[in-house]
Amino acid sequence: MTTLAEPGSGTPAAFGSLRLRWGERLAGYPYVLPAVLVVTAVMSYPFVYSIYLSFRATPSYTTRTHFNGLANYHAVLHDPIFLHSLLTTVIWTAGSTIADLLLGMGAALLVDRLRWFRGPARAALMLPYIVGYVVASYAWLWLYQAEYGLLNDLLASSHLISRPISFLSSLTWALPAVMLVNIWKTAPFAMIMFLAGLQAVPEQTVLAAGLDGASPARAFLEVKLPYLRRVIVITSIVLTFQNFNTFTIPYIMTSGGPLNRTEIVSNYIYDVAFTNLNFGRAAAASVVVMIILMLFAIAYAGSLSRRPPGVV
Amino acid sequence: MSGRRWIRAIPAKIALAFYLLFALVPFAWMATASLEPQTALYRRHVSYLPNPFTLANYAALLRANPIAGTDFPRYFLNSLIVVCCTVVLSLLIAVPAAYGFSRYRFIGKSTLLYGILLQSLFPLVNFLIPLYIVMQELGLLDTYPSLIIAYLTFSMPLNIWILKSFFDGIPVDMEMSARLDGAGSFRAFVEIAIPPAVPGIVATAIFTFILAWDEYLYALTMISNSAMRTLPLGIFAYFSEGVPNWSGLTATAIAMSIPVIVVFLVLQKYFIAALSKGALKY
Amino acid sequence: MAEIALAGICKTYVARRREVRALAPLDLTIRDGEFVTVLGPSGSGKTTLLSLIVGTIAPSGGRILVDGADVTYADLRARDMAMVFQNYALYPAKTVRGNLDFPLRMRGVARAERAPRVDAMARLLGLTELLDQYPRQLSGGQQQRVALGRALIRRPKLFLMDEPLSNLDAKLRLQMRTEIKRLHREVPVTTVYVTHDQIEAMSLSDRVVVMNQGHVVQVDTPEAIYNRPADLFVAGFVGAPAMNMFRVSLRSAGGGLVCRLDGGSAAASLRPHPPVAAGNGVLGIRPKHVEWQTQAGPVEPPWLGGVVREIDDTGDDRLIYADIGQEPVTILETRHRSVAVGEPIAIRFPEPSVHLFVDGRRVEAAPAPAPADTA
Repeated sequence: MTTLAEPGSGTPAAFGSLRLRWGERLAGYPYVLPAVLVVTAVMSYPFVYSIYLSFRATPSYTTRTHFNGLANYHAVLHDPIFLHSLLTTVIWTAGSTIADLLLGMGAALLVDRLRWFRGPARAALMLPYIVGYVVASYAWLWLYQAEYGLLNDLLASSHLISRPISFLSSLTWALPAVMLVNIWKTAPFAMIMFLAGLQAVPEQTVLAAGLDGASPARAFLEVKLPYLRRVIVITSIVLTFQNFNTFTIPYIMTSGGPLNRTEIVSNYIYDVAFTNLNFGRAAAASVVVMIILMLFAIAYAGSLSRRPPGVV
Repeated sequence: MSGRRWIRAIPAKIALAFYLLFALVPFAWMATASLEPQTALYRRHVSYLPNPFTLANYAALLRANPIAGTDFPRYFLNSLIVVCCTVVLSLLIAVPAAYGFSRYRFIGKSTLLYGILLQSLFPLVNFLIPLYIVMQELGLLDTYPSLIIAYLTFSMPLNIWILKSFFDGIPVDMEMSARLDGAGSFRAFVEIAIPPAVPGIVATAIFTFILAWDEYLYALTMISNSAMRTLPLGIFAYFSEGVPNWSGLTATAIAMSIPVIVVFLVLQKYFIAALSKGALKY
Repeated sequence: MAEIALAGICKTYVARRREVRALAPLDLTIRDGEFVTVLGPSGSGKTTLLSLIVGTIAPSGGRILVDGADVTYADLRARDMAMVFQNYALYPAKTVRGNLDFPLRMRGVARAERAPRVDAMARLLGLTELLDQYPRQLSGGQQQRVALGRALIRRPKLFLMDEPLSNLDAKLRLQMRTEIKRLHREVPVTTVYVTHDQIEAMSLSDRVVVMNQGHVVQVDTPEAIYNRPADLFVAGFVGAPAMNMFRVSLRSAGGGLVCRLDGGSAAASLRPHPPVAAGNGVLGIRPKHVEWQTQAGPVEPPWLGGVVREIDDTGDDRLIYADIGQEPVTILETRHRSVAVGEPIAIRFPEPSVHLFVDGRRVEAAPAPAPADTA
């Protein structure tokens, strides 16, 4: 009978460290094998295939490809649209993530103090996240509508504008407009994470701060926030990647326009692949993106492991 | 509560009201449009309540409209099949995997685990292109399997990560005693470890459901046959006319949201537990 | 440092349309600099009382006055109270110095004045070497001392402690108890100390407030609580091992009231004042006051016959569990006279050490001069 080895990270070690007999070393594999196979087939294989494709020319009229070295990369890295989309994506990601964190924290703090209304409030505020990107895009499309949309109507009635603004065709307003939709959709995630984090803040410590004379603002900044540090970091990481990888909102709402103002990298890659039918170049772009993301990941991994004594 | 305390809470109540408005107005606005006949939408001044009120748009959903190319019942069915299969398939594979990662030590465990995590950081487009090519070669385009398999790219890492953290939270003691009593590894897993993990499994299922129901990119790429469209694609048909059919569109969007909202409301607790646990256990 | 007055403070909760009385109205005045312990088991209302004083919950009625000022509904910050918690509640992201400094900073004390006060408090508590450490790096006892320092450093009007020693091991608890005593001598702040541990209560307090099920049962000095417990609850709660209690029938005979055990034997003869009518009552005697000796053969009054059931030798003391007929008796033996399980012994309850309870309440009773009758 194989004995359970010391359980995986996160579980309390049961017997301390047992010496693993040969059979025990293999005990875990059957459980993870199907998943590993699936992930390899569905993710790793495409990953490798992408890299392979990125080095090949892929004419749209035939399935045969031939090696063309770094030509795809050269084309991509010199494509002003790609570079612009990178920039847009950075703005999109940073802006959305920061707004998500701020809005989410605000919402969490407000909901946290509720008693009876807490459940309904939380559910209502989560709705944008639940219904998904597609419904969000269409809902705001309707809202932003130039002639019949709510936003224009409100602005007109308060006499802030004389003519309706077509937000999504405006060079200045398009990007903020779609970003707002993204923020609307993703902020509830931050709220939920922070709500959970706030639950973990010991009540007595906050009480002690109150007794010590701290105002609510001070108590939040100096006492609660240190407890929230970890959840803030994790939420930022998840949101950063989630926002960076968005596709749906710009595609549905503006198709990347006007003049590529709202085109983010996912849109670019899709366009190159399925509109221009150039898989090789699209693959090159996606590899570039993957490298960028991996650098991010490595940087973030560092910030999670350090834990000086003053950090909760 | 004493008077002073109540008054000091007012700014917070106002802020909360704004948050709620911000979150709910887009839905309300869509709901209004969906409950008005199409002609009523084109008015100089908007009204906030449906005027005149009509359920015609929703009724229209129930019929297929070959002229406009919309077939809500069919799309709903497609979405339902794809999403349910995705959920079931992912759970079948991920639950044992999460258990294995949680309970066992083996060579390559960290590599595999972090490899899965790392790959989940990439945008879906990256997997899309090769997957599309493969599906094309296998002749699987415009079929359910093409989507179900493709959806594994986001459902697998998610499921494994969340379920692993749930298993980590369940003490090993019970399985330990079961094993000492002579139960085999798999038996201990199925009869002892899974029951307490059911809330986690439910939560993961909900999460996967919500993500898959909304999935657009893969569906957009893999499906071109209008009969095989899922709901996210189905909405787009309302745009293909010269002037968008807003009443039909809003009605579809709301109808499309209802299953997800219902699932969420009913099983809120599990879902929220999954969200917080899944990431907090990094 | 201030005088605290509680006038009619009470708290009632409504649960499922029934009223739950968490705290019955109580009046209490705590003198300036006094150390008062609120003692009681869980559910006795002591935590509720503490929460009312601190201000985390609002009372259903009554007032709280600090030096005459009504703070019943005042904000936490305005009450000028400090509290030490069972799990210390230190600020984990601040050093010891930061923790001690925080209250002063929040009250607007100038920087120049804060540093010396922090150092002085650290010296008082023996924390000087730890000033730059974080709470996570300290032991339980050290953390508790930091908590004490943080509470005392701003010289609050009232100092509250909520079972602060419960998380410490036995040895540390004894050390900290002494520490708290010393602190109170050096910095005599008016203190309210809440605990379920009667040893702490006896050792630390000027006065003890004993609570049970939301009611205040007795307010008195530790000595009075121990030697003149007001009722059966106090008598049984204070003192370890617990007081022996016997149901007795009371009858007048000769010059006094004879208390008979269920088996009929006379346990004591007393003269209660005010006089008590014949009837039933409870006789109590602390294990350490029970007299006994080995006795083979018949037992003569005033002795009672018993058999040793169990012996518990704890090294310093010995507990002898015996039975008088059907009644169990616990005897605390400090002199190490030898005895074996099953051996017959003679037991006596000396009248000066006996407590008489009628209808649950203690009745003052002197030993009766006349000898017990032989009936």
